[in-house]
Amino acid sequence: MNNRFDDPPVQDEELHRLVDGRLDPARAATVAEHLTRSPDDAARVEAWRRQKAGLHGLYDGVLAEEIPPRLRRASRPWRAVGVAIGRVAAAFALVMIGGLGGWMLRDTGPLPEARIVVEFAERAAVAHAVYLPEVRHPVEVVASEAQHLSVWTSRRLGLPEPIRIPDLRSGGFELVGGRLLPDAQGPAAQYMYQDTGGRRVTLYVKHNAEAPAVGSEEQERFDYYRRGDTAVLAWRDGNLACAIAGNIEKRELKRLAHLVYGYGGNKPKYR
Amino acid sequence: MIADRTKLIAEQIPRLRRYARALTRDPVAADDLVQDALERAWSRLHLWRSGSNMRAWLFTILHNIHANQVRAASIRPQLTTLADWETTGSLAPTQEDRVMVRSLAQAIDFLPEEQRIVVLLIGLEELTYEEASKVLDVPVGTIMSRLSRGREKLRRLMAGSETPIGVQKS
Repeated sequence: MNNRFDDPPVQDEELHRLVDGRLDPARAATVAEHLTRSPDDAARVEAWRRQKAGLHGLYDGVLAEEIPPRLRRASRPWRAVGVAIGRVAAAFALVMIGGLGGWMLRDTGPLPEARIVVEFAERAAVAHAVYLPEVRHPVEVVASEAQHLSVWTSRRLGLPEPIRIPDLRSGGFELVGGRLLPDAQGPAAQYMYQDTGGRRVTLYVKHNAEAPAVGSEEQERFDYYRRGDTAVLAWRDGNLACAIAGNIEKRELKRLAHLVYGYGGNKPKYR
Repeated sequence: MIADRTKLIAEQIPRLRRYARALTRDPVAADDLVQDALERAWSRLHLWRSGSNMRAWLFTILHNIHANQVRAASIRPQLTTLADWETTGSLAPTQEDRVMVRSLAQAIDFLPEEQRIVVLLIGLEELTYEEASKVLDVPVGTIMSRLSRGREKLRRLMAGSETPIGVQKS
């Protein structure tokens, strides 16, 4: 049928290019002619055009929606700038004003900058960042002395009984050890874990004596916070305030947080 | 310079949201995905070459996060509500004893993930084939073949000549 021998036959790819407006103009006439001779191909092109129009009909409404505040905040650079200020400065800032704030986090969205540094998760993130790259002294007490680590940190945290240091091996992370750190109103314990790939996560625990003795069900949930590459999930477990920090995917961190939370025999739950 | 980049990134939010919505079909999960992508973009802005394609770069980041989430989800049991089952359905056999797909929104659910993504990037987001190739880190030829298979499967599903689960009752 093709009477122009120098014209290569029309390819499927060209039909898609036609639909997407990316057909070589030099081929437009040939393709158009082909469609008049091939009702099957014409029907396919028509169907693909309807698919495209249908997709726009389904989802273009999103373009007109108001952008949620949390996305507007996430598109601004202040957190990137915060990282550039440096961990040392941030750590000093924490010591200076850390006493003002509670440890509870709100929702997933970032909080006003002025309040960020007084948050528990921020302190956990900084503590994580400080010891993350440490080669020679990542911990004060190594995992082989786990029992001593448990008794020592629990006593200093003021816990009524020794904490059971969570076992995250089913999540692929092995205990490296732990250390004691100054937190806002007293000491906090940091337990460090590492996987076979050398990635580290830290669990930051503090005795939260101010917490109500019996928390409502709703209070037991994970709150997400992010500082640069470091993701943090924080939660309250009875009289403990806990945060797990790592430079890993939020979902993987959630999985580890579940392991920690479930460790005491509690039923893991989060929103 | 930061202000320029802030603007470039902010301009892409509506389209990132549209794509994420089509991809996840869940407004909250979609915005979570966009938020993760924006945050990662900021933490890696030093890797973005000035003057290069910000849209393709952001879609690449969003795609990688989504791919990781899909991988993670595939090894975990997922809870689904009764309502989800019902909407996935219209699984009642028709007179031709064939499972019919009634709408595009339904049909697209039955595409394999890799075809669905290409159909959305090209058909909805109007990315060029070359941009899609960058975003998914596969050759343009692979994009074309996924696009072709995806569109054809959609067409057959919509026309009722193919069943979503590939089984016909005897």
